[in-house]
Amino acid sequence: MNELLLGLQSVMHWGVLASLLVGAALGILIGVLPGIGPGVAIAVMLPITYGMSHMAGLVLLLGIYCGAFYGGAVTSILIRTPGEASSIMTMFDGYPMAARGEAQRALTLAFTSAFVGGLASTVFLIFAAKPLAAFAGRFGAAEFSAAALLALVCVVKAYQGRTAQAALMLGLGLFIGTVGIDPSSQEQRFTFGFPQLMTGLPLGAVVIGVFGMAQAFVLLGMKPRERKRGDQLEQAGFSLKQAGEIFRYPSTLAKSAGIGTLIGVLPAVGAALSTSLSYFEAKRHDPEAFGKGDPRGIIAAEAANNSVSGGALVPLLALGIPGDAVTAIIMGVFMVHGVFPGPNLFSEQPELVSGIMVSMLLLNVVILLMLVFLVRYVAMCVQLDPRLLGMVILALCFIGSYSLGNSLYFTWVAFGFGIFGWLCALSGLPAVPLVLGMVLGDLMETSVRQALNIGEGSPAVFFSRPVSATLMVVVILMLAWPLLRRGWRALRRPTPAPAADASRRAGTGPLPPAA
Amino acid sequence: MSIASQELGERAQRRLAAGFVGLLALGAAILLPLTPRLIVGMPEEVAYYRSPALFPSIALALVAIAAAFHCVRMLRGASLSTDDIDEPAAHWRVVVLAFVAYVLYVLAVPLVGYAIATAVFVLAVGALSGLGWRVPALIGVCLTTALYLIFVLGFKVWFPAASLIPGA
Repeated sequence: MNELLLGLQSVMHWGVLASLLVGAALGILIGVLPGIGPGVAIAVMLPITYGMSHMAGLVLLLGIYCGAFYGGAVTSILIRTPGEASSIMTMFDGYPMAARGEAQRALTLAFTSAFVGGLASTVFLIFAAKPLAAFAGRFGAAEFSAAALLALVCVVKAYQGRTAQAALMLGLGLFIGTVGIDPSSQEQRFTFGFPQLMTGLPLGAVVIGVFGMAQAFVLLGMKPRERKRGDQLEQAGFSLKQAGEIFRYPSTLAKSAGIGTLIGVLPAVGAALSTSLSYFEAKRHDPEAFGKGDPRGIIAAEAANNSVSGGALVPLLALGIPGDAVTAIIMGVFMVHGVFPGPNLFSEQPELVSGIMVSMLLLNVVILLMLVFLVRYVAMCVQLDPRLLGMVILALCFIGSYSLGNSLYFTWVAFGFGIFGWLCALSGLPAVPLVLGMVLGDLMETSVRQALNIGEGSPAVFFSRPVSATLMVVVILMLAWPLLRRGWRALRRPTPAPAADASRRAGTGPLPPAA
Repeated sequence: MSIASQELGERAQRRLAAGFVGLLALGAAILLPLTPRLIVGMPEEVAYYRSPALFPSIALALVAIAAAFHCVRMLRGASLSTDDIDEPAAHWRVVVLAFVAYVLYVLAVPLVGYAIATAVFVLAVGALSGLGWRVPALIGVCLTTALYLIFVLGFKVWFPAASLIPGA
């Protein structure tokens, strides 16, 4: 209780409250606009936060992060175009419900279930982060190495069907992170005689490039959206009478919020996976009804989608390991402000940690209130020409990257990564592992080298302590899982009896059952 | 030129993607053996776990293997599946022109000052992307004013004085 009061105290400043309102409004808008995700918005807003206090800057970014989760549902339901990849599942039942004249009911279900999911995950954050940080406080180099390795394996595993692409980008991120002075040996790595590279490639400029600028180029090359016959934009609204409908489906709501929160805790496994897992789990019980405007479909997708936000902050605050790309960028903001997330943050800056938790609670309330009154107007922004957005984002990226150090060097770095990011988008290479690799690489390298120093070069050091050994076993199992699964399937496949086999070959065996 | 003809076909996009990923594989494969030479003050004899080359070498090896694998897969016809919901290949010529406009913009800032360069850049990019000139001109003026007020006057971001236009 004392911690919540402390948090409330650090949030109750006009600057922080203004950031909260602006962040929430921007987040909703970003969620509604197809083609712009929270990563782009946070990359573009990053430099603005440098001129603010820690708390105000972080609350602005958290507002964008949370608001985008809510806003994504609007376009999925009204025009069958998801604002975010994580809102695709909302479309399956949201649009059919809107198409039969119940757009307000669909939006109300989406917003209220997202609200419950957001609150549930924030409560989880409040209760889980501190004990996890206390536990992690006893971690040594071997445990941190194993935790970082597990996070990296999760990053790659999260991209099912695109493992090679994710591994490539992760490796690239790890490599880029090594440019500059080696923190352990103080040698210059890959600086090629450029003094600017001594401190490494600036994370802010890389993020602005691969998220902001690359997306601006994509938007400039897009066609403007044409109005379609089935659009329900005029029907947008929130129905207070139907606000309690979600509580008629308590098990769907609880299960989805739980799935979303737990998926959020896993590094790099974003909201898109949590919504699909939650949707298909709900659909399993009544497959015929789903896809035709069933309220459970909307509840499952939206509660899971928004509950990722609180879960993703747990490993970030407690271990210094970001839960997804957006929290990786937020971690970059922490570092720029001289705040290093991890177990020590709870003892060194308790007011900041409590402030983040309280602001997450407030943000969910503020965003819901904004949507109740403004969703009708926000929905109209869908018609905005993407080329206009691309133009504005490019201008913002220029000043944003320049202001990182009042130098054109940063704009050139951002531009280089902008072209790189556009080529990656064209080639189907995900940008998220690159940023996570850059952020996690430093922690990983320092702790691995420390641990190996302690063990005098023997990798057995990672298996000598219970926590690191457990984490390493999980890593090995995750890596070996495809082989294990294949072996298990081969073992379970029934081998045909020799007699039956012979009769089948002769064509005299029993006929297979009719399909 | 019609809009349709400016779109990159799937085959061309696949070739471009395979070439890009192949370049990444090649770059990593070339850098990998050169790593010790690219570290200033690299110690002659050092235990592997104390070497500053250990971690970059692991990262480069990962890039080289994953990129080569993905490149071969793409050349064999694997899909360019992305989880993005937009079309990066649409109107690629506009994108290439935007690259050029951005380079000119960055070069123009020290010459004509931030405000003039930004307004002209927004107008140029808007016109190049097919938005005409009226809307981009209006946005250019409003956006430049807002950014100037926020960053230059508010956050005290410093720009070098324009060398061609005194006082800009």
